[in-house]
Amino acid sequence: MWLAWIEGCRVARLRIQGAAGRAGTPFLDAANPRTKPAAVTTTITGENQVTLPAELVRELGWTAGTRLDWQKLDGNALVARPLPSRGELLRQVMGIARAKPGSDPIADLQRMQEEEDRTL
Amino acid sequence: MNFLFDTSALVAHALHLRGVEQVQSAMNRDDAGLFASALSLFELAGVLKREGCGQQIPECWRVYSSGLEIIPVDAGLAQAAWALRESVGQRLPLADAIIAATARARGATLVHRDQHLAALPDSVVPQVRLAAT
Repeated sequence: MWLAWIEGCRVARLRIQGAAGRAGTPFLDAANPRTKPAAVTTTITGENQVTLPAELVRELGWTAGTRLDWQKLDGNALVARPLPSRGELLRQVMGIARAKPGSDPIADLQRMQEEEDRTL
Repeated sequence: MNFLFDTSALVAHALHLRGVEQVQSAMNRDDAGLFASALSLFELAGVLKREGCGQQIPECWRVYSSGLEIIPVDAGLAQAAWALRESVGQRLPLADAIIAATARARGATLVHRDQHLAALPDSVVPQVRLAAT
């Protein structure tokens, strides 16, 4: 499927492709002209905003709040890849480290706060 | 609803301590504002270093700074923190006073596992107290 896009004064086309930065997650790809374009056209507003066609967004599984990473390619083209949600991003560091056996890092932190604060 | 994560909540999250699932659950709320104080990045780094996990500091800073809105300490917050500490009638360490004042300023619920903060009334700052045991 295709989505019209304007960059400068020229029109480029964005293709929906079934692979992405995250495995199995589709993304918009303006670079590959091999797929026959569908009649899906949107226009950039004066504030550089564009409405994504609802059918396309559903197909990609994107939702309100999905953050997109845009990359300009050669040939007047743009690629938009969905970034992980905040929750997915933050989960990357959940349990990234482990406390020493027998230690209580939070209790230690509070003791240190009290010691540092004693003179204030 | 907004959440501000105290250092103790970030420590529980990063070190997979009790309360980690509650923290992640709040972080999964797409409709919520998610905040942390810049002070907590410093304190978290100190905890990671003491626990022998200093090599994880850059990744933690990168992810928390990307996923949360990190609130700097400014003159207004410093004054609010002092006023808070003076009003509660108990010893509230500097970092906790700053963090609680930051939560109040953002209209956020404070997520923590901190005994100093737990003593604050919810009318002063709404809280999610993570299970300690």
